[in-house]
Amino acid sequence: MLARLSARFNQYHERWLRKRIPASNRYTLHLKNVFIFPTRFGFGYLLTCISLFLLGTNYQNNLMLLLCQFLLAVFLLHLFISYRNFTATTLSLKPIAPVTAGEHALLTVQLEDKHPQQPFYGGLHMQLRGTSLSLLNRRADQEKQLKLLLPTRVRGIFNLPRITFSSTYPLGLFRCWTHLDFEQQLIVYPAPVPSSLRLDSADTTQGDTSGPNLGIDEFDSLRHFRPGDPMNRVAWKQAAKGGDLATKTFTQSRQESGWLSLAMYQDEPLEKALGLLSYQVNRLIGQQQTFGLRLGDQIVEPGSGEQHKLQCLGQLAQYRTTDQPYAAD
Amino acid sequence: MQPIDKLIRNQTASLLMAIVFCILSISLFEPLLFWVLLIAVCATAMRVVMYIGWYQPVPSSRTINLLGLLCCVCLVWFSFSIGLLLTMVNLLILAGALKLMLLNAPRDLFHLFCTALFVIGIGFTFHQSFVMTLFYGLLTLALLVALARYFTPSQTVSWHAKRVLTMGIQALPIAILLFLIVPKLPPLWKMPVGKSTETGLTDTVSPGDIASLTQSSELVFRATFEGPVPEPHERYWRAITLEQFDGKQWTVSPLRKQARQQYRLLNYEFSPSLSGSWWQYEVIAQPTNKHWLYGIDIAVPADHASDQMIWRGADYQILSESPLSTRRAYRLRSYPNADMSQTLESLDQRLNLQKPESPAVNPLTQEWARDIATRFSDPEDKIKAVLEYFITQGFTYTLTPPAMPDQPVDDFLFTHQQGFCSHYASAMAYTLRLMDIPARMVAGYHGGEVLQPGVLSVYQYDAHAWVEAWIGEQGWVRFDPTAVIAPQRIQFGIQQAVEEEAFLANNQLARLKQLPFLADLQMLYSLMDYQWSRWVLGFDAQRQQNLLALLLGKVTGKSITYLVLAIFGVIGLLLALYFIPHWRKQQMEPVVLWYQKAVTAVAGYTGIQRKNLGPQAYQDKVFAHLPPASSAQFRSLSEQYIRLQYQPAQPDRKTAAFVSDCKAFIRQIRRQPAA
Repeated sequence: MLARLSARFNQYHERWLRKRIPASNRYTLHLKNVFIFPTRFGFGYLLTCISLFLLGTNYQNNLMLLLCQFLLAVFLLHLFISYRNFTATTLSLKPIAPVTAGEHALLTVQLEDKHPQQPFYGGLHMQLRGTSLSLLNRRADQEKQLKLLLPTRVRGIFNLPRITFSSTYPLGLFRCWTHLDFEQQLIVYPAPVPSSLRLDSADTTQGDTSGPNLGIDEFDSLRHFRPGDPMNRVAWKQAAKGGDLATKTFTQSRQESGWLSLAMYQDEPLEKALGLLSYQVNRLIGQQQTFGLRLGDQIVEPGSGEQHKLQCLGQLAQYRTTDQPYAAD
Repeated sequence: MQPIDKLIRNQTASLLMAIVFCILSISLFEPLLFWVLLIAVCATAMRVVMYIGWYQPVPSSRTINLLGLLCCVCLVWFSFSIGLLLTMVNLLILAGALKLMLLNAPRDLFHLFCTALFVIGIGFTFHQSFVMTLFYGLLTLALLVALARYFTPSQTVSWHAKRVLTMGIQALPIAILLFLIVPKLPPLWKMPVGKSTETGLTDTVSPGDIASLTQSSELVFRATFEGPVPEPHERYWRAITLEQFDGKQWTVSPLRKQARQQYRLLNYEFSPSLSGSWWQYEVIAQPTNKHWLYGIDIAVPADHASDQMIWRGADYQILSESPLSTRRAYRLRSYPNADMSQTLESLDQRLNLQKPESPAVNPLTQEWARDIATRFSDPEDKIKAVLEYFITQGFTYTLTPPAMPDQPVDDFLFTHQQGFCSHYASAMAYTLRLMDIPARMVAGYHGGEVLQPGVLSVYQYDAHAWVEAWIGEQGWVRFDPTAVIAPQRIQFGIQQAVEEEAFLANNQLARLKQLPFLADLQMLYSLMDYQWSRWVLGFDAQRQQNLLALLLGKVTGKSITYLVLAIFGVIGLLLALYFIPHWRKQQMEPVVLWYQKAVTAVAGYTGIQRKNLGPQAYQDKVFAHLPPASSAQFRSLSEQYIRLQYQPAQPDRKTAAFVSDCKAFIRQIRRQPAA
């Protein structure tokens, strides 16, 4: 019952936040997107003030009362000091590089001062809403960056939840915070499962009945080393014998007809199959080979290079999944 | 949370906090037990060692808990002798010190911060002088600096100090406004008070007591008179009426206390009818933790707030509703000529004829009194005979009389014949009682040093005791045997009366007072202290009401509402002043500012606007349009400006020269008739 209520409340809150702080990849903090409230310590401080007031009244001691009123004035001023400091900053999230499952994704938030004559001071705390992932950088004003590692467990494309930033500068009496939605997605590729290459030469129309295609990398000849050649292609044997650096070249027997296909791994569980494909994509890209990817209905036309790799891996990551919120555990 | 920074114990914030706490404890040297102070200092030393890094591990909380338990047991043991208030203070410091030892998490730091603030508040119970207030104010700021340093470790301590100081200065006007406007409430409940200070009157006076008071130059109270000031011989400040005598000591009569309690229950306050001239004055009394207050003769509260605070006793004593734990101001009106026969005669007679019945107590005095009583019948003659005796028998006035332990009155009257005011008063009151004249001893102060016209300071060495006797129709009449023996004591004060003796022999400070320079300094300090206690410490409900009346004319509910709104408005304005950004103009560099002024002047003269031309281009454009002297000057200015703006690191004096050139140029061009 309680859980349902709180879930309902969260839903409303989320909707309210969407209206109040619409998604953006760069936020300038101002009155509309900043919340402020005394911290626990702030309430403790007020309690001390009240005790001082009672003590001063009961002892009819004006100096105690003056101290109490001075502390209250300090409290009041800090409401504004905290707010002014927090709103002096602009926050943006750097694009998150995709990772493979099991690795940590790096979240980097960049701070900028709105006005150079009034910089942001103090530390900044950030937390992914709804998760226990949080970080306090007490020197955020100096480093201008907050970095948080996000653990990933499974492949998929995740929507990053809102990030809560909070600051208690300068005395910890007030906490200013905001929930920002940077509209970022976290792409997690399937973790590669090492295996031998299985390239399907068949045309799409022929289905996936044809056998495996082995021996794509046959040694062809040596040529002179050119800077930029991959190290694993250098003919080290020749080099060790005292010759010039030479690069081995390979020919691919059937470059034009390489297809990676999920259908080849029908016996394997889906996740493992995707892992195998992920490994092979990496490998093929490493070998600068041209290949295509068939995932059920989805087809990535043959190609090569970094862009092609990202496209293929991206397809692997989102195969038969929907966008889901990121959960740390 | 991932650890990113140093541990708390290695942070400057915790070191600062420890040092402030240590200084705070030391400032409370007097109320603190020595071992508590020692623990506080040790805790600080521990923090310093940890900060430097000689020793790292924090003691386990179990060790500290054990230590805390031990300390509590000790404190309970000591609490019987030091009273509740001091026990609380000690406990607070002790808790702070133990927390300081354990300090390992931000939360501990916050606890310590709040404790320290509270201790500063407690500190004001013991120290209220201007200097100490300033000192505690600085400590408060230091605490804020320590806390700020914890939250922003990337900035230096001096940077924080500057910020906190600015913030403190900004907060002060708001605090003062609140101080002026927040209603001054009466005490909400009774708080424990400390034991009375060592010096000062007590409600038991044995003859030697008052003599020892003369060794103290501590301030007792200051009185500010509106209108005439009483003559020196009229300044009899009553404090306590002592009506019970046991042969050695005078004490407040238990019967009197009972009667007072009954009256209080019935809320039947003694209100004598008053007549004749009066003196009106305000007394600012130093804390004594006692109930009695000081007033001349028949003193009644002069305003409502004082009336609330004061209970008038039937023995013409005025009492405060709560003990004087801090400096307290009250306003009185004294009627020196009013009739003192308005009290319940039967009770007064019964109380004041009490004497130790045993014939073994002071037998010689008893015999002597009987002798006088047989010779005279009129009470006034009897009193005259007693005073006569003091004069004719060569009695002397001294601060250091010999000890008279067994039969004090006998020894004084017939053996030593030298003594202090209390000896005379005690002997006389006792003798009168023996002759069936109701008599009692009044302890208080006599005299007062003029601080400034209309202001008297009364010190402990002004302590005095005199006699009151009930004489027929007149009621209570004051007799001061000291005035007979040593008239100069009454006329000029104690310093004159006992100059040959080592007055204030033990008081180094008083001796230093002899130096003229220091005497001036002391005078200045006294004046400052007086104003401080009058306007800050003495700002009570009455003063607040006066202030409101001054501001509003007539205090009504509506006007109060307006005032409160106005105060909020003022606070809001202050906040706007502090925080609305760019309320002050973007400050331009002087070089740019003055160049632009010069350009405006040129544009005004030539009618050619600069628009977005560069300085060189503009100079070329207007060159021909300016009068020859000015054009040369403007060219030089433009060159200087270019140099100052676009060449790095120009010395300040060049800027100053440029500015003065600009001024000269503008003056000159304004004098030219337009082209």
